[in-house]
Amino acid sequence: MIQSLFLINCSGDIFLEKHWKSVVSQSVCDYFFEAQEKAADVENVPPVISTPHHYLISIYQDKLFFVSVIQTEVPPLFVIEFLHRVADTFQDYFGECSEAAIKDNVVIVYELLEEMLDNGFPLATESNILKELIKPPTILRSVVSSITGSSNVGDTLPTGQLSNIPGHQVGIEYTNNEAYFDVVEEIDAILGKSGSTVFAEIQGVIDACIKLSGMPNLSLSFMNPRLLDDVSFHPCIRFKCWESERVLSFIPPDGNFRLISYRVSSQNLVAIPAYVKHSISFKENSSSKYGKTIEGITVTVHMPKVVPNMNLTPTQGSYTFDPVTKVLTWDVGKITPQKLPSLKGLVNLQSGAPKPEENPSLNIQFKIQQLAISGLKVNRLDMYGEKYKPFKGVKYVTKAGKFQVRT
Amino acid sequence: MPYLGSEDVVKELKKALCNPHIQADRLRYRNVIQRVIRHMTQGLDMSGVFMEMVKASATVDIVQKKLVYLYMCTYAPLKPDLALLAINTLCKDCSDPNPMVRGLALRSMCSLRMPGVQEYIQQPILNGLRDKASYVRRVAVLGCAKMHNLHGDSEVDGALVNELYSLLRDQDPIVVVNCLRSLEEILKQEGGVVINKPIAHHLLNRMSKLDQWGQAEVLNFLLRYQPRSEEELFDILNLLDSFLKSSSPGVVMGATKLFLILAKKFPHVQTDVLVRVKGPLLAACSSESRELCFAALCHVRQILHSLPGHFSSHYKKFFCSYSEPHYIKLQKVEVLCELVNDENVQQVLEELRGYCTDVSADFAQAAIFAIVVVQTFRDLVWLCPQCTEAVCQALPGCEENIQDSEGKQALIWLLGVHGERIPNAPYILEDFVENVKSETFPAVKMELLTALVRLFLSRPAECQDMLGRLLYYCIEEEKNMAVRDRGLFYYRLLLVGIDEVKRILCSPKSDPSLGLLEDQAERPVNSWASDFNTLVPVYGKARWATISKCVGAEHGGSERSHTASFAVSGHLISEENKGRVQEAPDSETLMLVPNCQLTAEYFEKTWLSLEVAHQQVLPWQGEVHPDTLQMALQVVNIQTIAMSRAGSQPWKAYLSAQDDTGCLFLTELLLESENSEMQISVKQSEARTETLNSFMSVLETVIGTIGDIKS
Repeated sequence: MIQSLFLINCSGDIFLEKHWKSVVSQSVCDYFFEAQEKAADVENVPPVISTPHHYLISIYQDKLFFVSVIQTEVPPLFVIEFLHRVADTFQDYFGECSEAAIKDNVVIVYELLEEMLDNGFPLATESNILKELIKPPTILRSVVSSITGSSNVGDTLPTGQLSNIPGHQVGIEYTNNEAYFDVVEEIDAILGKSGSTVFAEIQGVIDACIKLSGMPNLSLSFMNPRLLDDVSFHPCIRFKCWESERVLSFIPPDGNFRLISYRVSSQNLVAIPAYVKHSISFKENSSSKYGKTIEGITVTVHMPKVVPNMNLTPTQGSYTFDPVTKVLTWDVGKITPQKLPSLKGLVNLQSGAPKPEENPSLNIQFKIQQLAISGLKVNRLDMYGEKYKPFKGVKYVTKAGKFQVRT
Repeated sequence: MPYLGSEDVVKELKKALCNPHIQADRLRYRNVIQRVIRHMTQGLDMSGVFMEMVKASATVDIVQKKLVYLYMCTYAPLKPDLALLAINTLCKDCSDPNPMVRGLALRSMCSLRMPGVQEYIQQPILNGLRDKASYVRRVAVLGCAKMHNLHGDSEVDGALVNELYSLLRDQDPIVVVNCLRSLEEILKQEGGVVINKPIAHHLLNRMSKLDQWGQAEVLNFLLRYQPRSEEELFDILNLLDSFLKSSSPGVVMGATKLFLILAKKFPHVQTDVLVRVKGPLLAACSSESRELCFAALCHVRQILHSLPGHFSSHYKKFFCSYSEPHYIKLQKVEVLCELVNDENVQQVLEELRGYCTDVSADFAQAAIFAIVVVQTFRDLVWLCPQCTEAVCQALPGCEENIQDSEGKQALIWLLGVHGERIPNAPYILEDFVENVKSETFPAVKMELLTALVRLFLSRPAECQDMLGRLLYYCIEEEKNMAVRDRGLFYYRLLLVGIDEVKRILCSPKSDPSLGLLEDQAERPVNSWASDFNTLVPVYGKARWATISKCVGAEHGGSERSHTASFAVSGHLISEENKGRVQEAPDSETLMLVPNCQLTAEYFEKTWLSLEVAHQQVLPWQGEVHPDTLQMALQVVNIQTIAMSRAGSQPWKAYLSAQDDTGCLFLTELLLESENSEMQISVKQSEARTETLNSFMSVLETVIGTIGDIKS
């Protein structure tokens, strides 16, 4: 299935390669570079490229390209998902998925790749199983191993591999039995020139962190389950139960996993928590409705190429302008409804250059703690099958996804 | 570290590896080995220290073992004689008490990729298949496939295959999936792993225990199973229902495809499934991963072929956002274009208009993008006249962004046809006339001529002068004959009189009888169901076929039939690839005429009167499916006069085709039962070798593609 994997950085160096079947020469990447040249911008390389003998399926994440070489027909989504899983695993292990981190940990990277794929087929990809096979590098462990010379490989096989429930380990006893859920919602929106909402939608996920002994049977119910438009489930969830009773019933895997992801798209349900005026002045609406503050606001603007520099004064927060990438970043911070932040000043144009025709679009990031903007609320979590009483907790957070304002 | 040539590095590392002091210190030893691996991964040739590395493999340290195994797998093909030494250690590790060591050793041994290793790995693999640790069994099962590959094309080991089939009942889900994967590779000559009723039902029952990769692959394997009764079919569909809502898009797509294929006789079920996956698909279209978005969008387009308007109520999902990469924007605009209906046309146009002037940050990008947009406009105007007004308003201002020939043509066409409603149309065209000398595309010049003559009819005063200039240029200075001819044609037409010009040029501006939705020929779901969730929606089948062909040529026959094993019978050449098949012959001036139907008598008479012009033998395996072949030939305008029934021996077929010059091609296909090749004899009514060669290449493509699918 996946014959080889090449990792390529933004300047076009292949800094890592791994082959699961016969060795494929690096020259196959030339087709990728060719496509890159054609695409003008390196990031715009299409994810599937055909070469005379292979297909190259690639993903771009954290400024790195993961290019896989395919020789037989495959479902493209399968490969793309797998490549993302590889990148996420690196992120999980090294704290960041960067060229430096991968090079520093090249040995672990090879160990991981060896366990994740065999003969080109995905094997162990669950983070909790991998971590028992190959221990992640930690400062403490590297100190210990440099003193004692102990290895970073688990000597025993992960017990989870013997269990019939994916990811659930039999016979583990936790001292603290915990079940935590994070409800994270992202607003994807495009606000039009006049301030009207062109498009808005909420993408939500519930991530779970569960450490429960034995074989607990959980059921999670919502106050308002009808709110959810399209839901996709972790394999552990009993689909029939949801269909009939709108209750999430499941035997959880251990550790962190994504319980469900959902979408709320009915136009009227999406209340836009912030909007920006043309002249770049900030307003917060609906704050009274939820009674939460919006924080961590950042505005990024890709300025036209003819802008060499600018001189602005923010009433709040600070701004930076990168003259190379032409990106203006304004770190606003919190918004208080009494005093709306604004950023005013002079934007210089190159002398002689024509006036840019369009105002650049603004991308906005923000965060609202303890609120799911769709109004989703967890009602209760019940546990059956075990005697002990677990710690339970639910946290809500709303963030901006692809939140864009046209000017 | 100062720069060192690879030879110096090897020398230095060799010395370090041999140093007994370093060997005694476990950590330092491992560090040196890590350096070797580091250099290896950077592409330096480290094969020089092979001997020393083999020695280092005899250790209790698992990490060191892993590193050395990794090294050996990379360089064993270069140093086969030395690698045999390493096999000893590996064999010993295969019976280590620690299952992890057993698994590692077995996996590395199977990956050595050097001749002669087969005899050493056979026993450890067989032991591994019966190991009590599932980790080792997983490795051993895949090892079977690797061993088979090492053997080359040798015959299949029946006992091993039976053992693998029985391991399908293993209690470890990954072992089960690995068995399928392994059997698929070993049995590729015979068409891959067989999914009979007990296996299918066993797999269906294990589905919920598999991880997402396993689920996706099993769903793919289940495509081969044909339920016996309607009842069984719906039982299976019920079992699989929850996978349509899986959190993994790959599984959702796999399940969708299986539903579409299984329910091929129940169109309402197919439609129902497509409605149900709408949500997950839309979610994938706005996924964080741009690559997933892209693949999902490609599939959305495919669904739209059969269910136009399926996503109409969600058209806003496909509005582009500023920061998306262009390949996504392009797909989205295409989708938008297909979703336009009477209700949303205003909003969509407004949106498209926004794109025309958007992203001024990067002019080149804007240009590429605008072309697509304008082409969309053209299609819109043709298909739904009521939106003409809006397009006309959107047009001015676009011309500066358009650089490419097709975009220019579309713009000029619009200006010509609807020029009377666009105030500055003549002035935009005037710019084109001014620059006609530097225009590189003849097609643009021709379009300009037509548009200007048309506009002249509605706004003579503003156009007369520049029309004169353009005609003068085209007739007197233009080098391209086609453009000159077109210029002369219009000149003479104008001489005849304005009424005649009007009669000829003022054909209907759009076809009001074509509603947008009705226009799109709705293709049955079954025509693309077999391509769903493959690379075909992303790329086209013809492209993939060429690639597999090259691979086949490179690796000999084995690889060829391997690529065949994934293809599922169905329509061979989908509608959009029709063009591709014909393109190749076009370039060699062969143009087969559609609907040249000869009577059997006439064919017989001509066949007997002609000499064989060309004879050729093409590889072919298995039976012929006449319907598929006939359909495929029809696509490239080759008619079937007569064909033997499926399974008859020898199998024969008579084909006819005619090109645009009237030259007839009569063909006989002959398949002898004992040969695995197809004999082709072609007779031609006029002896012309170049068209004969083109005809042969068309025929070869078709038969090659069918052969690949059927074998």
